[in-house]
Amino acid sequence: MNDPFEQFDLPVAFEVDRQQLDERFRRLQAELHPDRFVRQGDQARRMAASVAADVNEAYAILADDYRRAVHLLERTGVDFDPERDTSQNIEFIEAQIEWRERLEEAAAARDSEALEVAGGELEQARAAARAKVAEALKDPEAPAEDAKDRVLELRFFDRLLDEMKRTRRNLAAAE
Amino acid sequence: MALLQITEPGADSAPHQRHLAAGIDLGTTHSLVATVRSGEVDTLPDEQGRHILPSVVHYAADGVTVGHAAAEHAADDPHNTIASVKRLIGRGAADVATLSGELPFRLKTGESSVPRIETAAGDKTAVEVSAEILQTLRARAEATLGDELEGVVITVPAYFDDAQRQATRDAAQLAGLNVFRLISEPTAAAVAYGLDQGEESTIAVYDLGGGTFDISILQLRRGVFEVLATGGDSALGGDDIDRAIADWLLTQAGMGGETDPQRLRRVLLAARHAKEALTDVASTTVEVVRADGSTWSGEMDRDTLVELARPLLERTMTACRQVLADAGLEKDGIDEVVLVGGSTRMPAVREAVEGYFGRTPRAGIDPDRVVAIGAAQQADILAGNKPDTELVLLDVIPLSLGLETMGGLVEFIVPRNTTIPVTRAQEFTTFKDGQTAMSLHVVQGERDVVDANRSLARFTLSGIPPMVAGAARIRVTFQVDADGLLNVTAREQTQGVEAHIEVKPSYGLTDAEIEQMLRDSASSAREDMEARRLREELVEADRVLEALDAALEADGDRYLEPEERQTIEQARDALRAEREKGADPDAIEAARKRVEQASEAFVARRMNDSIRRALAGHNVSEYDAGN
Repeated sequence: MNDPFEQFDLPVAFEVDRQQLDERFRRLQAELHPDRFVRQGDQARRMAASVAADVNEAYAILADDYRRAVHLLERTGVDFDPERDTSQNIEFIEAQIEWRERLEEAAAARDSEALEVAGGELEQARAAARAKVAEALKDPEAPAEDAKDRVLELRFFDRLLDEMKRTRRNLAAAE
Repeated sequence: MALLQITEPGADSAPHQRHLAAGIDLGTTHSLVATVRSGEVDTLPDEQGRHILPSVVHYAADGVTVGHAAAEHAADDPHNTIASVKRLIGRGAADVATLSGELPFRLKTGESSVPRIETAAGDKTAVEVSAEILQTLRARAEATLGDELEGVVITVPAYFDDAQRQATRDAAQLAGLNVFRLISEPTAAAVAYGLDQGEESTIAVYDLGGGTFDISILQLRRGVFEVLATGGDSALGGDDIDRAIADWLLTQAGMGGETDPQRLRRVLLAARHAKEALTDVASTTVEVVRADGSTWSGEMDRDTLVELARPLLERTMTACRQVLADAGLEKDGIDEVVLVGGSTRMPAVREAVEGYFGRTPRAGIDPDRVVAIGAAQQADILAGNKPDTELVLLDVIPLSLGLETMGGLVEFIVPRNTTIPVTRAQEFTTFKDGQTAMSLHVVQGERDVVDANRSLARFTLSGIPPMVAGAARIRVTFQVDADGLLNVTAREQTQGVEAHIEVKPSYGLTDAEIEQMLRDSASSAREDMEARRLREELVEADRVLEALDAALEADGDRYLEPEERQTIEQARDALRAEREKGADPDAIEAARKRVEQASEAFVARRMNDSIRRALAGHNVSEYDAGN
């Protein structure tokens, strides 16, 4: 697969112009979706499916802060194993534990108000983590030493926010 | 075909020829077929003028009937009268076991992974039963249009998993239909209302049918639809309201302990009539015959109906809340609400929906037909009858796809709501020294534990060279096509051993089984298998020739060296010659494959060029004008 930035003809950078990205994605799909080739035989359809899949994947990477950051690190040769790598920053590990406990307590108490408050603060913390990633990747050709830790921290917040959404959804459905 | 066709040399062989295509709503309780004719889209009626075809198939020793005639046997011959087969399609024996108590027909789940229904005409799979329904609709469409259909768009519920989509495609193949695309039912409904013409909107599709309730949230942005979230209740529908009314009637008539199926069925029928009558009037008279032959007669008003329906409508609203949360939206984030399904004719349902979403739902198109109508419009576009349109229906995968890992846990490879088509790969390794094989178990679902998800397929990658544990690198690739169908490949990276699977075996029919069914089916008894294959090859050859000529005309000079062009043209001429002979399907196929091989680089260059153009901001119609 080609480099996603190249595929979308966008400058290699952590910050992407979301509007431009979306616009190009739609245009590429309108052009390459296998639906546009149903009457041109199986071969054209198969090729279109494979190109469209590449476009979808490139878009998924570019549209997601965490995946885009990982891609930027990997393209400068940083090894990234999403399953084994964890942040080495002690302070952050302590903060992680606190966040988890807070959410688990609110969930156990079925306290949707506390969850909402925690959710707001979590969004803020995530925004701060994102800003640190942006800073660490300011020069995409030469990421900061600690860039990988920053990216892992961003992932923690993304995952926790997902979990919280699920918890809130389950609470809402049970009401 | 026209008797006289005037073709200018070098021009497209038939520039104004319309390509016949249809949209099919293959529903749980009933099915419809629709087409676009002279710019007007509508569902097609049968000879008696009925548009709706009950999704019921009756098997007798001496023949098969489909639709209204089949439904009449529900009472006198329940074992051979197959209704609601959509609940079984693409389902494995284990899923079906939980349903079988509710189904009147006899299921055999013993020897095969695909459950079979015992009938007087032999054992039938859900795919075969569905194919009978599709075949009936195909015959109706071809009789109306006067020629064969070039292709169809078939709708499936947004949440249909890989197995169910694959089985639907298999049924279409068995019915002799070329499927342009499977699209989701809510998307089709939104297309029918022309909501695809807007710039950006978020649409809720509330679909309350006879036996199922679906709620889907779609997002449209610049001509592309995405299904943001989908939910519902597969065991909730208008029939439950009928049952609630029937229970009320039984109580009113003092028939609480009634067990006679014949009488219960009549009460249920009376309940349905009352419900339908109350759509237009505020009060209606209901009569029920008791066991002793006496008749109970009473008034039922709309308030009573609303009371009886309330608990069920509440359940639909709970599902709406959940799906909104799933999509990460509040109620006021919804711009349009679309009603689908016959049960949404009930004023109580409309009021409840309007009350919940705070906006008047779209209901101008017959809610029974709206899905087929949208599918027909999409089929018309895909058939190439509207070259100027830019609309592409983008779907997402409804349920996550993953692999079983150690300890019965799931490693997700493609998460739900990923836009398709998509290709994702992940590497795994061996966990024992000298391990030479690895078994892979593909599952679909959202739970971390394997057993809580749907098992799609199991296969083994063997021939891994013996190495120490953890040294082998096995790359497993999941490819999901635009219809949501999955293909899995596993490859050992260091030595290149490969195993590949079209995800079918653990619940679906194998290609061999489908071929056997084709041989056995009534439609192929009338039509020799070879003749059918020849016809399919001729159609495919025409498709390739037409596309290639247009491509050479438009871009041949730009992308091809003279020798390259010559090679392609030689292959093309050979194919054209075989096609003209029109006798040997194998020879035509071989000639077509040679054309495809010869033109592969050309197709790729054109595709790259269209990427470049798309990025440079040229639109599709501009591109098509030169095509």
